[in-house]
Amino acid sequence: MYGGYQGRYAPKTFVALYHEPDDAARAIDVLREIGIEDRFIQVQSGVPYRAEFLGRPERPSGVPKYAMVGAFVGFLAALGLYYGTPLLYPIRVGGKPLLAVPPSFIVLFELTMLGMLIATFLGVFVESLLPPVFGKRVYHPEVSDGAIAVFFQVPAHLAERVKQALAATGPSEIAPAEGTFL
Amino acid sequence: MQETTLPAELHERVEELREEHLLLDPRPREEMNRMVLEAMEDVNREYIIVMTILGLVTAVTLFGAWGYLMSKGLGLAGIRRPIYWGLFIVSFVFWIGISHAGTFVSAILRVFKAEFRRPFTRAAELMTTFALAGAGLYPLIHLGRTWRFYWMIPYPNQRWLWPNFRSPLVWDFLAINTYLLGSTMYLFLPLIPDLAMARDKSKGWRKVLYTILSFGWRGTEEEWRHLQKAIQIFAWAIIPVMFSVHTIVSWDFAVAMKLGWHSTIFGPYFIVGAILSGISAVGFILYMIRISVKNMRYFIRPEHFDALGKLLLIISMGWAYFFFNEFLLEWYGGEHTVQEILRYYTTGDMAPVWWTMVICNILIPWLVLWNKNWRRKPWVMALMGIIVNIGMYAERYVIVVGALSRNRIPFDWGWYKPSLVEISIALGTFTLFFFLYGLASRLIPLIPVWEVEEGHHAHGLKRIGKGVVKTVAELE
Repeated sequence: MYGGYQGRYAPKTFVALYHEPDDAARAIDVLREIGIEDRFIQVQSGVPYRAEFLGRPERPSGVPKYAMVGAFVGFLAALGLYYGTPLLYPIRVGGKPLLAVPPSFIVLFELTMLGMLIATFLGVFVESLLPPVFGKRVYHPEVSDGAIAVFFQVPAHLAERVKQALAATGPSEIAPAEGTFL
Repeated sequence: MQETTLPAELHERVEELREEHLLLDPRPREEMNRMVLEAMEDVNREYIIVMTILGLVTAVTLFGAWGYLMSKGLGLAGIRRPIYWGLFIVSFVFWIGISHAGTFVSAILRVFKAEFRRPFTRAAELMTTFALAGAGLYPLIHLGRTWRFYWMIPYPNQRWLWPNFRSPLVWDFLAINTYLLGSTMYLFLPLIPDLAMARDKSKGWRKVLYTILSFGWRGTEEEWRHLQKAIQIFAWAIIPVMFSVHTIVSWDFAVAMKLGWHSTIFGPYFIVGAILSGISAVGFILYMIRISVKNMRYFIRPEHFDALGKLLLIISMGWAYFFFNEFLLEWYGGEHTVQEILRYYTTGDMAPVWWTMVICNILIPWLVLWNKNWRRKPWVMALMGIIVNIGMYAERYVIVVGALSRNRIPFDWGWYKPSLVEISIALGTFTLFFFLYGLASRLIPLIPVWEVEEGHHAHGLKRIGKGVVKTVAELE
């Protein structure tokens, strides 16, 4: 919405701090009524709130996809190790199969789970873009103390109007913020 | 519920409920953060003395004795034909069992949304990680020539000969490493928001450490969504991994054609035993945290010991069920050597250990834990933690050493006496565990503050008629 705008239309970032989810939800409604789209609003909190509590759009997490891919990779690795490696240097023992199926389930299970868990773990960081590599990002340290920080970007000429409208929602602070939402 | 709407006679009841339940007794997040950080930064003289002693004892009894064993050879251990497995394997199975506490308390209770878990999931998860670290040493120690351990790692030698994946030794390697990595990641994920809190509140080297470890966490909606989904996946996935680890440990025995070991029930029997020792150890650790770490009396209350006590009683009954199954059917079979093994356990030289196991795992827990007043006393639960773990150590000793002592022909019978080196190493892993735990208690927040605060949001009071009851909203 704001890309390339300059002067009085250049976007400015602000943060409004709340201590109750009800107030934060009302603030988000106010911002939306003014015309600020959801992608120009970011909420930070010290505890997780479901999207519906704050009236934010529901988005599925991509982490389960990582888990599935990881599990598949782990399964393939296990197949290769269990059924592939004995063929590289076959040692045949009388009366014993070179490739025994029942014990393979143990190796297949462990490596499938290992792949899934590692991929899930990494998925959190990749999907959340952690650690930050694109410069400074918006943050308010009071989030650690349980505050709900509602960050929003508005064109400079609308800033005062938005701040006045938000004042009615009971923020403990409305202040300019620096950094990106990423 | 607004307290102002309550009649005066209910105020007292409300106060009682608040005192009883942590999640009905909210304090501002800022204050809870301060309490947890104070606990982490409380490095006083007593702490330094205790840690120094633990560190020195570990260095001498574990690493010193292990180094001596490596330099002189495995002959220093008391293991002799036909008893090739001794205290090293007993301790290995014991610590694997303890490691089940974290997963059971954290993952299973999380899946079932048991609210009482909130303040102590991390304390239990830490137990898993450090118990596994201790357990993981034993296969290396038991190898004798420890420097050959890399032969277990799945990579080929110069002739493209790979490890044998049909060997229980390799199953152990895979299962323990999967569980160790999985449980460490599972410990770390819910820790990130608390590390970010510590980052915001700390100074000096702690700030640098927590800045690195918190990975720039800010608590955005995206971050929470991904974190919660991952925790959910972990909670479900780590449970079968936990089951697989101790099952595979039991198969180390059960796949052998050894009477007393070759049993189809060993998998679940070992798992229940592991959970029994793990849960009781959580009670002991929570007691230690409560008395030795600052501000923890607010977070860890008698209600938590009560809940653990109930769990322990149920698991003890489960263990007794499997134990009886295993014993009865072997006895009923009437096989001559098995009869001799059972006689050796119950009335032979192994009887003191066997009866210790029965008394500590069944008799004492059943006599004590039915009583709510006793369950709610932290020191009673700490004592139960010690007693049950003595019982579980005895159980492993009976299974490992007892069964190996009696074979088909009396020529192959034997007697095992642990050597000083073995006893020293076994004691050393206990001090290592407490040393690592003590170190972690001052480095990471032992209480998951965000989970406790979430619990505060979820819990409330509801007036029904002339009474007041606790209610829980489903926020997760």
